[in-house]
Parts: sequence; C-alpha cells; structure tokens
Amino acid sequence: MCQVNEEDDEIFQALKSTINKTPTNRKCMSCGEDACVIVRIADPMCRKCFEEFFIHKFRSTLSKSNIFGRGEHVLIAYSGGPSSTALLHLIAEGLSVNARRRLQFQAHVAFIDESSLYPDAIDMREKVIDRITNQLHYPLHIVSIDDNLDNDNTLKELLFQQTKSLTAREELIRRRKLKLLFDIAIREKCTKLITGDNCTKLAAQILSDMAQGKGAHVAIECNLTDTTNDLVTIVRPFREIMSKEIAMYNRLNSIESLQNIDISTMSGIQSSIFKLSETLVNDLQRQFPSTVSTIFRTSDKLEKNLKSERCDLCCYPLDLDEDQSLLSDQDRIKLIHQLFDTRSNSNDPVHVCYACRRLLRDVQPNLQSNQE
Amino acid sequence: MPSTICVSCRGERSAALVRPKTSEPYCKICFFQAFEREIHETIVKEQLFKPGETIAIAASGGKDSTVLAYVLKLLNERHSYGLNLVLLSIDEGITGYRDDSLETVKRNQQQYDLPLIILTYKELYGWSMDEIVKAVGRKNNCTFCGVFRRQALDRGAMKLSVNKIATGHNADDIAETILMNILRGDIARLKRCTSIITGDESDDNEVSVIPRCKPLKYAYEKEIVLYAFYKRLDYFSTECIYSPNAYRGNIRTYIKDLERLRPSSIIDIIHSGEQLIVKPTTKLPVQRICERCSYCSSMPICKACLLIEGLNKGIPKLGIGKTERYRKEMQQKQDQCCNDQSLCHCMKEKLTVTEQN
Repeated sequence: MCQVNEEDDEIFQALKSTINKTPTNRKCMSCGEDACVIVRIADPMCRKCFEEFFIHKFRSTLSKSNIFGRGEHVLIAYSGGPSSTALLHLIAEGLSVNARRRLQFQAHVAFIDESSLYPDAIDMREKVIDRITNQLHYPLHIVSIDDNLDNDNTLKELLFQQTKSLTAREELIRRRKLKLLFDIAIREKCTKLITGDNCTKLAAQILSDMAQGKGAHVAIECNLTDTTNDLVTIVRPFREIMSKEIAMYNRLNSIESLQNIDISTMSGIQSSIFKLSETLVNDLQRQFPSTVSTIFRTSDKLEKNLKSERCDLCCYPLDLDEDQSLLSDQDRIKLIHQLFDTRSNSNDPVHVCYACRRLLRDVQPNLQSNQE
Repeated sequence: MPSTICVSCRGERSAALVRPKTSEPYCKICFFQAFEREIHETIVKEQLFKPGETIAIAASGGKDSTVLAYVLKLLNERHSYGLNLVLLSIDEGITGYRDDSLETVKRNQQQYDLPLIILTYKELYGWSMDEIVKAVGRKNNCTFCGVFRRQALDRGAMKLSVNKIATGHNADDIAETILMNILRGDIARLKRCTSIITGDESDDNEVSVIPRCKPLKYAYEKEIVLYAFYKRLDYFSTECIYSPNAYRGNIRTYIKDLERLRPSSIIDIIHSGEQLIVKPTTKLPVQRICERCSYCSSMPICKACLLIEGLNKGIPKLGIGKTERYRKEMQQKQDQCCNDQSLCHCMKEKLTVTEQN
C-alpha cells in the first residue's frame, strides 16, 4: 500500500487471500511445466525458464550498453559470498568457447584478504586460490587489507580501538576495500571493475547512505557504469537482480559460496546503520514485495551532481562548499593520507564530503586526545 | 559519568538536560536560548517572512503547533518581524481525539492572545473523519485526512486573506517524509519535500497557491517536547486513534532506532534529501486547475473531489489504487454528487466559518 504503483501489491494481497493451505501445483508462466520458484511478485517459473530468465537478464544488461571492448582487461571483485560466486560462474560461462555471443574481455579476479581482522577466517585465502587459480584458471590478485601500511596492526588498532561505532567501522572498511580494488585494477591495467552488488543490497545501501548524509552519492552508486574514478569504471551487472533470485540460481546449479565473515557478522540488528536499513528493507519486502524494486527505480531517476572536486576519503564528488569541506585536524589528515589517498602529496589540502566528515567524528586518530 | 556543567554558560548554572541534537549537557536557560536562536536563524537565513505579512499558524493543539505558536509570537516581538499572527485550526471530526485537542487550541488562543479560526471537514466536504473511517476501513484513511486537511488549510487561509501558512513540521517529520517518498517511488514529492517554503515560486501557475513554510524544519521532535515540557506549555499529546496501521509507522520506528544509534542521523537524512537531484527527463506532474472546484491539481479532477465522489457514491476506494477505469466513467457521467441538498465543497457559498474572537 501507499505505493505510487500499487498494482503489484494489490495482486500480492489478492493472491495471499485466495491460496489455500494445501500445497498447489503451480505451472510455469512461460511454458506450463511444473514450477519450482516464484520470481518477482507472483510469477511461477520452472527451472529451465528461470535459468533462461536469469542468464538473459545478466547478459542483456552487459551487452545493452556495449560496455566492454574486445580484449579489454576487466577485474572481477570476488568476496566469496553468493553474489560474487554467481557472478564468476556466469562470467565463466559467458567467456567459454561455445557460449552464444561470447563475451570478449580478459578476466582477472581480485580478492581482499581480511583475515588479519577476523581470526576465524583463516582458510579463506587457500579456498579462493583453489577456486580461482586451480579451477577457473583466471589470474588472481590477492591483497591483504593492511597492504602497504606501516605495520599489520595499524588498521586493526584503528578499527577496534580508535573507532567508536560499528557503523564507522563498516564504512571505513568499505572505503578501504574500494580503494584497494582500484589500486589493483590500475596496477594490472584493468579499465573496468565488475562487482556483484545485487538489487536487494543496493536498496539497503541506499537507505543506509541516506541516513549517513550520503544522499548526493545515491545516484551514482546504483548506476550500471560508474565513472567516478577516471581510470577504472565500476560495472554492476546484478543491479536489477534480487538476492533471492541469486540464491535460487546458486542452488539449482549447486554453486557453493564460501563463508564470508565481515565486521558485523553476529552483531544484532540494531548494531549499525547498515544492519538497521537491511532489516527494514527485508521486513518491508516481506509485506510489500515491490519495495526493493521501487527503491531502486527511485534512485535510478536521480542525477549525480557535477562537482569536479572529489572527497579524499571516499572518492565521490564533494557535496559541501570549499571552506566547509576542508579538513583541519592534522591527525585525521595523516590518517587519510596513510590509508586512503596514498598517491597525492601530503602537503595538499584534504577535502571530505559531508558523510565522511561525519564518519571521521567517530574516529579518534590519537588515543591521547580528548577533543573531537 | 558525563560532566554536569552546561557547555553553553560553562558552569554559571548546572546542567538540567542532555540536548538530543548534540548530546551535550545544557541548563534550562541556555537550552531555551539555543532552541529559540536556531529557529530565528532559520527564519532569517531562509527569508521566510516579510514585515507586514499576516501569517496563519496551522494549529492542531499538539506539541509542534503549540511550540510553533509560542516561539513565533516570542520571536516576532523580540526581533520585530512585524508580523500579524493568526491561529487556524481544522476539525476533522475524530471523536476522542480532535474534539479534545481543539479545546487545547482554544486555550492557546487565550494564553497567547491570538485570533483563532476553526473549520470543519463536515462543513467543507460533507463528511467527518469518523464517517469516512466507517466507510473506508482502517487502512487507507490517512490519505483522506491528509488530502482534505491540505485543502482545508488553504481554503481557510484564502478566506482570511493571509499571506503565508506556517506549519509545525519538525526535522523528524521531514526525515520520515524523505524516506517515505523514496520507498513509495514518489519522485515528484521527493523533489519538493525538503523545501522549507513551498508554493512561493511564481512560475506559470495560473492558480495562486498560498505559500506554506516550516520554521521548525531543523528542530528535533525530542527538543520540541523538552521545550514544551520545561516551559510548561499547554498541549494535547495523544496519538490519532486511526493511525496505528499507517505505513509511516514502519519508517518512524526506523528513524527512532537510527536516532538512538547516531543522534545526528535526522539532520543527516535532511542533508541527503537536499542533495538529491531529479533527472530532468523524468516525467513529473504538471500543475493545472481542477475542473470541479478550481483548486490547483495535477489531474483534471483534483484528489479531494475524487475522494468525495467515491464516498458519496459508495465506492470509497475511488481515489485509492487503480483510478483509470473510474476516472473514465466519471468523466462521462453527469455530475451526480453536487446537487442543492448536498454539502459538497463544490458549492462555494456553503463555506461557513466558525469565528471565535
């Protein structure tokens, strides 16, 4: 209810009341065979039709805008989770010799090893190597999340001792990972970076970003091709595919994803802004199945602001004026140079956007200092 | 143990409260000053008022409008805005809620010494909210109330020849509205909802709409409650009895949780909303005039007329959900709802006003 486009929800409510308790044999909407999965609002599909639908969606998204040049070097961001595993699987099929309208780029895979932060995730590196190098034979680039830092404890100390909130920790890790992915891409001369962000996750990310003051970047973060970085373009082929559809695809093809622990695993639903947003989206989606696609469609109608200055922390365009975005705290400037912006001269002034400025208030760069 | 010295006067007085916006300890006096000063700065910076204007304060008897009336009157005197202030109240006809809150507004009128006008849904539209809920049910009734109230405020304001309407929307309301518009997919409202003053742009609108502004846009709901409490202001604090099932409730809970995690979230959401730019190629509704009542509308028949039509014909879902079929039917049929006996608001002469002075 309360949607501008209410027909979908009305169909759903009508169906809910007419379906009786005994299991019914629904027929696939395309071919009439027995259905195995419900897609979108209430469309049943059999296995074959579902896979065709899924693969077609992925391929048409990629080939619609002629994104990839022949022989282009492309970096695939792999996290081990279900979305990036499905992504790899689909790309592998698309690159294989007997694929229809074969994909024409050269694939590299990047994996960011966070095991120094979570002691429970020790085997990840080996499993990833096994999967990518031994099974798929793609060039694999593994980088530790504390790559290039003075010592291995800098990031860990920053995150767990100097940062007050889980929200801030998540956001710092998110920015750090993006920076590292860009670095790898540039080093390996890859001009594109493909991520497995799906629609459900993007919807939660939109709300979470709005809550942190990052509204100016919502328009960019949902684009199919994101040209924020001049050298590396981000591509998001799963942006219109729900997490449920990916899970179903993985299950039907027995694709196993690796367990992926991150900083907010096992913390309660009220522990960080992203978790709160994710919970809201999932709860609303259960009652109103068009929630995720509506959020996504709304963000698709937004335009990015054309400021040319970038935030030195998150690399997105600035949304504050020159004087307001200038950072004056020496400790924080040092922090940014060390972790996020290693290429520029350390004497250059540092500018941050509204959300990053708010984020930095949760971080005490110097344990002794008491001021904000 | 947090310091108990007020951060503003630095120890002249001991702190009595923690300010929700900044989580810093404040004494009562400094809190009043900070709260009032921020509203004054908003009014000045956004150029909300001009000297000599008559401003109708939309008064419901609730905390927001009571505080708004109190603070506007105070600032008007303190800083010589030169405004004439009037209280404008709408009676939706909700027993056990609105009739009680109206008593509060009448007391406010005495306490703040401001003229008061009350308009009722029954006389404007022929239906009170109690009757509407009986016909529509408990789920979509907020739509009726909201659409009718907006028109009622405008009609009351036009009748009184005021220059602007001031509403008590606070920061929490605006944050909720921004998120609601994203979740609803309402891109047109998303564009407008962060403006502190709406209806002021005189582009090619044929109908002059009375501008409405939100002086409390950056004031937290919690701070408004604290201010009203410490100042012992008289207000009515019960929730509307029909609201528990509203969609907005989900978002309200989310925002309360966010505020608990990070108090600045509310202002951060407003900042985010202000940064959103809509693609110029997006299809947006065009403003025109309702064929029935000449009010401004984005459709040939305005929403209020549509809703009333539905109520009078016994198809209450007319304005809610699929409207294409019904609208076509309506445009062909004769005008059946507006005859001499009905109190439909299309009959302009029937607009009676209860004046209390």
